[in-house]
Amino acid sequence: MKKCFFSIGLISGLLMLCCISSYSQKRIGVYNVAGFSSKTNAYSSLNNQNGSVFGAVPAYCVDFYSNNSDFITIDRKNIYFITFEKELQKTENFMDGYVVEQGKSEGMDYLVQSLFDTDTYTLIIQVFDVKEERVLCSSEKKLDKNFLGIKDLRQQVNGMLLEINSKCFESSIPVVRMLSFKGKKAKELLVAAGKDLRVRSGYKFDIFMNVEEKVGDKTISRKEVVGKGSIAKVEDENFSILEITDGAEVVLAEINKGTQLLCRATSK
Amino acid sequence: MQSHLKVKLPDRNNVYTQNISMKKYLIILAVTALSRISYAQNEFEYTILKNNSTKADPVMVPLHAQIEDLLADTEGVHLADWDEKTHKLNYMHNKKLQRPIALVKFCDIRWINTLNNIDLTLVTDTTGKTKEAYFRITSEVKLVTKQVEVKTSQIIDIKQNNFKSEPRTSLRSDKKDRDIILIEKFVEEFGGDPAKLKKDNFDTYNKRLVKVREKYMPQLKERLSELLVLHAGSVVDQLKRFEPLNIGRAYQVIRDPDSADEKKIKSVTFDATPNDHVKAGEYVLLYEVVDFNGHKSLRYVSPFRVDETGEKSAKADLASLGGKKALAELMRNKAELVMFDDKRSALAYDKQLRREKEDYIVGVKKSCVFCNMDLETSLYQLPIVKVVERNAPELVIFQKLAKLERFIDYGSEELLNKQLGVKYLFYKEEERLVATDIETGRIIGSERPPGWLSANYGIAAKNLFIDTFERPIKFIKNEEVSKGKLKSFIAQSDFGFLFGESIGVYELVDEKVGNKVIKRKQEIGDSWFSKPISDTVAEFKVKRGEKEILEAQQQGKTLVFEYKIK
Repeated sequence: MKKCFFSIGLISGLLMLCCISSYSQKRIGVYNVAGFSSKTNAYSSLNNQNGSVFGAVPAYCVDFYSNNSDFITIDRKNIYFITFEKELQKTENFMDGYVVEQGKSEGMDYLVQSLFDTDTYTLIIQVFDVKEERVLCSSEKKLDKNFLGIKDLRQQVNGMLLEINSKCFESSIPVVRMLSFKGKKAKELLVAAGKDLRVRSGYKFDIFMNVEEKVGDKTISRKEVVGKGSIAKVEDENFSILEITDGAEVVLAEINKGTQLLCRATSK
Repeated sequence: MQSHLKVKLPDRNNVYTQNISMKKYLIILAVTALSRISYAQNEFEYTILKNNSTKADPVMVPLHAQIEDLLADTEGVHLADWDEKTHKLNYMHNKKLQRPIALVKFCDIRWINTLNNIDLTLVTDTTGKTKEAYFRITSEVKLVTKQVEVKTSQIIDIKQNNFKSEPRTSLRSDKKDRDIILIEKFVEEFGGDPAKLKKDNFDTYNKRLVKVREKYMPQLKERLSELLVLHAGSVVDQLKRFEPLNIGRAYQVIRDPDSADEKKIKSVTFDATPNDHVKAGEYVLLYEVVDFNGHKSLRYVSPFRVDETGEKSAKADLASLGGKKALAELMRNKAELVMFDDKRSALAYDKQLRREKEDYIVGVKKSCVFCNMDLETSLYQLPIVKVVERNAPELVIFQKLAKLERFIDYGSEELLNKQLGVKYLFYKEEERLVATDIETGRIIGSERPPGWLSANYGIAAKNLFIDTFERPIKFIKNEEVSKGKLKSFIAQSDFGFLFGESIGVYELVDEKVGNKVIKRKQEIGDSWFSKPISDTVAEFKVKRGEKEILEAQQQGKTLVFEYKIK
């Protein structure tokens, strides 16, 4: 009888653990940007100018992940301050005062590392899986420039991170519903991405649907792009209005068929 | 030359008084400030650490000397020259330490450079010919102070005062006017009549003025230096003011039959006993306990000056002119009235009323005591946030002093082992305000501060706390409704409100996204902070959506109130 209870307890415990882990947030940390030379295929130091511009990339990554409810961002940049403060709080002076709990520091599931190719002006952001000890996925972009230098770097990094989100973590952005149309063309869509995903007006998205393709004996899911759009207005933390720029007729037809459309950011 | 006090707004300590006229506000501020002078009345002593970075500046030498002289005889207050970079202290006046140091006041004194662009005053006759030419100097001193409690390392006050000479537009009255440098040979200096040159060829006049200014700069600096000394009294007056260390109790107001009559009422009696150490001549502050649909809060009424003290009660007179009518009305309405020694005690009582249990203890990542002051001040202003100073190793000296055996009889154990640990570290990074939980290492939020000219870290910090700890702005009640429109309403926030703040009103609608239902916010209106009621309660005037908000309320829709950050 005891054995039976133990087995039931163990199974239910495991089930609960599975449920928790499948819904749990991912712990992510951001490391500093490093210079890289594609010509020599080796790390290279960033000069002062590049260092001051690209030194901001980790901060943009932290900002991107810190308000996203799918992630818990772990601070690695201030590890010195955190350790110093915790050590200080162990001293006698805090005996009758206020202290935080010791030994509750959290580890990371993923690491974000950015590389800047000094030869081609390409930024590479990659996500490293700590447990698997491998690069999970990455996004690469030749940075847009104008006569003043690099165009809004924060916006370009956010676009890359949104792309990484859909590649690495399968987190596509659902189209909630159509807001307006003209004739046979869809005009505006309500999409489930807002301030929390650091979406800004002008960000570009692909609109796609998942289709199943039979390859030999296997069935593989394929993302079929049916249209393109750009963000017209960010409404709140969770929603934005996407203005369709391409494929408006196909989008309307798919919506009328009841197809679940999704979006993914595109850095192009 | 008169000097006047320029008060920086907004400030957590004067949030109550901002809806009244500036004149009345300054009277109240001055009166309430008096209630805070607590030096030499406590069992502890105080130290002023004067930043010596400007001490070698020839313009500042006389001012520093005068300040040191004026502070020489202040009992219980020690003055030290302080090197912010090396953390070295050099005590002045050789005063013997009688009791432990409980409060440290860091101060930074600077002169505002008004000389680089100083204009030349030209006096002309009826034909437009120059009669006299002179520079009139305006002197201005900026004083930044920060008070830190030795016991906890908590910052209990941050202030910035600018002491400025009155700008005078009248002609000089006398050649001995101290703020004037006369240009005797102005025709020679300008290569002609300066007034005519200014009229005929402004560019040439300007070029020559720059040269004249350069030539007279040593004289101008010397005279400015003399003028700055005139502000020493005001600076010292500010330096000698210390926040009270102990949180006092709430005194209950005792009503008498005359108190409801506005013609007779001029004082109030309250239940202070000799144990409360209330003395005649001191100032106490009257507050009303206001109940907004179960949200109790303090509303500031008026300052009073203690007239008599007795065994069971004390009597205090209205300290400002007017206010009798409002006081009599409160008495007639049987309002719940309480009195406090100072605002810090009132704030503590207000927290009790709100059943606020714990404060958020935060630290700011910075490299010096006076660095990142905008962020630190913004956090300090939040009612349920305690900011701890971690960039002043000097505090350790005073903590060690308190441990000395000779201070045991002076209650030094009160100062020991009560340090506050930082729970959240705040810092600025790439135009964002970021906070990290020290316990877990998690970044709890990253917010973009609003503002065009200067970033508003106060609103960014409030938003970060509101989102992270789910303590939203609460709607309390409609204040004014007219002709189917909502004109104003009362709202409450645990993190307080300040002048100039605006909150958006949003309607919540359900949106089905896959299997989930997510709340979507649709903006239906805008409102402005119009009147403070207490530290955490304020009235807001509806700026946009007067009709829509009222309709949404009548239809039972869910509304949320949030700071607007694009």
